[in-house]
Amino acid sequence: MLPLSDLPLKVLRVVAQRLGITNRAKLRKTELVDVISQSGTGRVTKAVNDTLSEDTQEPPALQPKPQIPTVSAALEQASSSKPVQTTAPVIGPHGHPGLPVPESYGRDNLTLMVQDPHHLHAYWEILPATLAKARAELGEDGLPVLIVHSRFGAELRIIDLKVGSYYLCVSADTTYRADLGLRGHNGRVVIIAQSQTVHSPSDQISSRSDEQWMGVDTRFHEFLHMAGLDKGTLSSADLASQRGEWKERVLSRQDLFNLPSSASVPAGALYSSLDLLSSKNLSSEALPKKQ
Amino acid sequence: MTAGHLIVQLHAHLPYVRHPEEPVFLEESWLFEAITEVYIPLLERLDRMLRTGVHARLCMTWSPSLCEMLADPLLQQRYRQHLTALLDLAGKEEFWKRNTPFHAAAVMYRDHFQYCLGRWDALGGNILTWVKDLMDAGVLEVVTCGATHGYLPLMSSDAARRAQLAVACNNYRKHFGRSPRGIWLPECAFAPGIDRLLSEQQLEFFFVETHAMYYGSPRPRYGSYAPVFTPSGVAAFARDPETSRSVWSSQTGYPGNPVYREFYRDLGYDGDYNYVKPYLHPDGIRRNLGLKYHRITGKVQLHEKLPYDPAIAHKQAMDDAGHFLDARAKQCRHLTKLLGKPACITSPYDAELFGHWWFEGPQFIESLFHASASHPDIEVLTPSEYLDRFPCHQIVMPNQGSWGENGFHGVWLNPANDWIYRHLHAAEDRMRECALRHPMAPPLLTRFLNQMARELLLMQSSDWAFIMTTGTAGAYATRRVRDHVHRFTGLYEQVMRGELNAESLATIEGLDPIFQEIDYRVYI
Repeated sequence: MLPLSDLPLKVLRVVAQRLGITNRAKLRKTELVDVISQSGTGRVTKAVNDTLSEDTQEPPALQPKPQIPTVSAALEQASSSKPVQTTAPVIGPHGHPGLPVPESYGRDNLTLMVQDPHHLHAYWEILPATLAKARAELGEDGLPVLIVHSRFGAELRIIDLKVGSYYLCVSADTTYRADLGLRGHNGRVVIIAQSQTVHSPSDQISSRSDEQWMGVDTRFHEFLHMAGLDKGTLSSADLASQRGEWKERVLSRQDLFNLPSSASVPAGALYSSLDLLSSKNLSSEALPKKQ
Repeated sequence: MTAGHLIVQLHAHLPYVRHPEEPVFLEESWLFEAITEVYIPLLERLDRMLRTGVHARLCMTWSPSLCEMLADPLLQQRYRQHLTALLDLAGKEEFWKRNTPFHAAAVMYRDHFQYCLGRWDALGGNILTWVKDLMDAGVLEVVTCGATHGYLPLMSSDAARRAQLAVACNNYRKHFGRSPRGIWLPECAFAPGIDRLLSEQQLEFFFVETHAMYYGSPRPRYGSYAPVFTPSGVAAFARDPETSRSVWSSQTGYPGNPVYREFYRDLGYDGDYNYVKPYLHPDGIRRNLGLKYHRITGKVQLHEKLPYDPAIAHKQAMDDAGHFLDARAKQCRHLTKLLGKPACITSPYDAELFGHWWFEGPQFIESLFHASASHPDIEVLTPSEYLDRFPCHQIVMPNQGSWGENGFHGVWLNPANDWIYRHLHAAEDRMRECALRHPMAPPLLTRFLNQMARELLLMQSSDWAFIMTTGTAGAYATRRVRDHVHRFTGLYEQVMRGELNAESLATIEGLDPIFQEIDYRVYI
């Protein structure tokens, strides 16, 4: 492959377009070469080969012109109901810190997470509109607070909304829930978001010493399968109906009374080997006499 | 009479790292090193014991993401290129190290790389067939793990946890042709309720950290020396702290012995730059090549380390294995008096300890089984064998916990990495939202939803949060989370708007082709 610097500028712009590089029209040739080089040898080689094998004129702009938006811009456009063709780059060059991630998920949210028996982590997202509405209701800006509920009562922590998260000191083996709100100067709180419930782990041996024991034998599942009862629990009505069907089939099968081995049961027979065995246990009046 | 039963569990896992966009990608070397230094040496020894009739019973995780990489043709081809280059270097090293104290080690590397290449070609590049053979022979029990080693207690919903488990079990069936009986929870991280999800997948056992058992409710009568059943009927084996310390501890553990190989002296740093440069990453930065010629020696400076002698180290590994087993026997004889029955000692370790960090580790494992085969007091079993033989246990719900530092979730949730969770949780909610909305999607939409599921699973890998905490490859881990969040979000937006760009999807499918068998409906 030719060194990138030997390629004409218009070819480099097409290569850059294929690689999803934005602002390529504003870059000088040396800058373009630099940015393209960061995309990885394999990708660059393919992009150059594809470009040189086609018309080197930059393709005409499509209508509407394709955007390579940031995700947040894409979300904004989505919320305004305008269709957006998402052609955002899906891979960054080596050493790149990673592609853009959403700045907002468009919903009010407060989440609690357990870190250890004595610490919880809370994170939140509050939409500007929600904050404005809460302030209007409060009649003032208010102080953002986290109210942590447990069996010990409600504890209030002042937070910085912009930070987006907070680590809480808690007690072990306790259930917690939290509210995020604005507190007015008179103590009134307007709740903006509520978390789910979490339980902090225990940090000591259990006080329970009662014992229960269980035996789980996987071979039992095999027996269950052979009995045909592993498909789920049957009601007694279902069982009675099944017994009735079975009896009908038995009475119509003269060959059963010679009780052949399971290997000689005709193909498609509906009976398991246990069915055949259990036919021996039918009372004599249920079985037709052998001809 | 047997005083105790020993279960050795090695957890083999690597995060899914595959970069077709570049011919040589640095982080793919994690896989190549592990194949050469850990997996082939362990399998070789199990194979040898099988052929010579030595009773060996090893339990191993082969995580789904690791299996996917081992079965991937691109990575297989790249590994072979990597190994061929190493063999070339080892050949030169054997020549240049003649008549020096380093020659024995040079011969060892050359012979080992030759063996690896021969085995690799004989297996057609897929060592999972070797794993399956050893499973069939009964010397190896393989347990599954989370699909991408996602940290289950920190997920936002049971739907997300269930998907990690369901995809894992399906993938196990794909690679091994049978269903898994047990699972190694990612990072040994458990929270009450996860056992019910394991039961849904018909998994029969898992492992917990020591304190998770001791702080369980009610108190376990036998402590960590017998498994328990959770109320869901799934058995939990607890890690034995004594066996952990004897191996993991850098001060008092076996791997710190002065005759063992020193990890931090490597040809990649010690060799003449122009000589090693062809074997380094194309960026030319000096890094480990895996050819190390010095022993730990003691508490000395790196430049004072003495030459490594493979024969002496081999003998020491055999002695340490014998010592380990004698210590277990003594432990079990004491415990039997307290418990009134033989103890069950469960010893889980990261597989990469054996061969990568502790070069002589695989030899230790082989010698351990040799010693236990004739030991009157200790019998080695797999977890399934133990449960089949002893099906009745106390019902206990273990406490939350993990095997990370401090025993809970702090390694994976702290200021270095907590930013990821709002993105992971949002993606988990969105994935379920889309799956519920489209339970019977047409083909193109199905491809979108399946790829969304892949991106979600890949961003959930606990390795990223771990690496962000330890800082060893923090930039790469950050990039991985951001890239998967970005791709997921792009796909989600297209699905929600009903405007599906098949070309962009194809690009992403080519980048992240893990779990070709995936069905997005695991999120329903």
